[in-house]
Amino acid sequence: MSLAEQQSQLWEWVVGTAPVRDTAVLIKAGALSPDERVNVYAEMYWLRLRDVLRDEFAQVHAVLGDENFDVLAAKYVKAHPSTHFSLNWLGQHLPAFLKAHPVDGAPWLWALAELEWARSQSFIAADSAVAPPEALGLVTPETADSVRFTLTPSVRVLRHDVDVRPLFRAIADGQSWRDVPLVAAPTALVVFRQGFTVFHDAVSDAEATALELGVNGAMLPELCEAFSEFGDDAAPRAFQAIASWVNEGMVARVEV
Amino acid sequence: MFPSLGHGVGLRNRHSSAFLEEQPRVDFVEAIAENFMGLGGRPRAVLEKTRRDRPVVLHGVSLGIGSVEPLDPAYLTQWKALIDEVQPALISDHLCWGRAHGHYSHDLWPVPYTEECLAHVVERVSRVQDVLGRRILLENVSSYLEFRASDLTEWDFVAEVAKRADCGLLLDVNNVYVSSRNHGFDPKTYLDAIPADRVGQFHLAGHQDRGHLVIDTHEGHVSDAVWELYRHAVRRFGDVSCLIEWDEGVPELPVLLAESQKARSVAAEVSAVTPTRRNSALEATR
Repeated sequence: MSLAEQQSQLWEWVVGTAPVRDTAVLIKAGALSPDERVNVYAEMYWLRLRDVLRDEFAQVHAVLGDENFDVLAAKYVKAHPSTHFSLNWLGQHLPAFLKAHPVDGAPWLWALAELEWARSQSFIAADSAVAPPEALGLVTPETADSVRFTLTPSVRVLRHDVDVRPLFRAIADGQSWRDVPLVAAPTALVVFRQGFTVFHDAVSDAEATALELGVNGAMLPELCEAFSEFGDDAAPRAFQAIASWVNEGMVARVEV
Repeated sequence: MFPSLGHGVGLRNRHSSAFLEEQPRVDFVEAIAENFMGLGGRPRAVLEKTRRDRPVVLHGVSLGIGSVEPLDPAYLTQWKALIDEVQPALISDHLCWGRAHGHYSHDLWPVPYTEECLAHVVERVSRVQDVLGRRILLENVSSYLEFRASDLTEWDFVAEVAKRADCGLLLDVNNVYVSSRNHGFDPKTYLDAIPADRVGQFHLAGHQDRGHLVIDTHEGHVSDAVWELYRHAVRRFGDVSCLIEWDEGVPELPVLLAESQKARSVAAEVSAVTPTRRNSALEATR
């Protein structure tokens, strides 16, 4: 059996895509049988990935409890085996997986998972410069059409059909999530990092659109367009939002 | 020859505030490379502060040098970038495999000890060292199974990889002990077969002894049997950088530092009564 064949066979036994049988063909016996030896690795594989997901989605885990979370994790790992060299990315598809496979009694769980994921990714996002408040001085009537704003890599924008912030707060404070009334309403959230601390807050639909543009860098007229529903008030509202982004450390660069 | 850094500990989240805000008394620190590749924020700030205070070594867990899957170019690019930024005293990963079908197991699985696998690993180590621009240490892993196809001993395989690929070795003394119990060999035979000039770092850790099976848990204190094997390693390999790994049930930092201090004391005791390879060479130059 070639090296490739040996690895492929052991892989399938350990990750569970093939039943653990006829292992003696590949594995030596001894104090433990070949099946038992393979199962040591299968158990380690599962527990390692399960524990990473429990840590990454501590609030989802708190809502579901050990048993139900592990059922979810097992289905998720089977559907989305790790494709990245870092375990930091193992959970990247879990919010979408929960949205596609809603949990009975908690259809909003995907939104909570997405908030947790965004916060953890914001926490470890690449460092960048932060534009000082004086950078807003670059915006003048003469430069307004040519000013470009780029947000820091820590900024994430989320759109949900329910506001999960009270739920997040309650679980973080150790309270029962069952006591939190959830309000179904379109909700946009921004997640960002100041120093080493991650924050999240609700923003208007227009500001969320502007933030989404700013993540990849956007010209001021594009940002104003996001506020077009306010007519003549679009530019002042856009500038007010941008000023708050700068003050909160969300803007990396202001360039003319 | 690899630098002798003294006695160190792993950089773990529980102790990040201590390393960020204070200067814990430890000779060097080992950081898991993948936890910092392309990332920033507090974890990166902790690493930056730590490397200003003392030597840092980077330890990878995802290279998969023994996997038949092609080496991941994105991974190697980020490894190189991190090395350039951090300037670690040593870099290492494991002599194992853990990737297949485009997926990562995030575990460290033993390879078959065959000529085919030996040639495969040697070729890949050479390519990795070319990309990274420096010599890498490969760590022996603990194992719970052996391939029927193996026709070399693990120690001969490890020694041959180091010689043919011109790489170093990170000798995990606990892993040698764990595997010796699980497969029934003499751990001192293993150590005695390893070329002394290839060993650039030691690892020590706790394990769980289930009688019929010993699991490398990285939890708890180093066992008496592993301390004894460490004495043998120091006699054979001399003053090699030695790190305590404690990843499960991570204790308060003083407990971890005390374990590192114990390793220092054990090494000092051995060196005081036994001319080791490196202090013998030093005396010969006086």
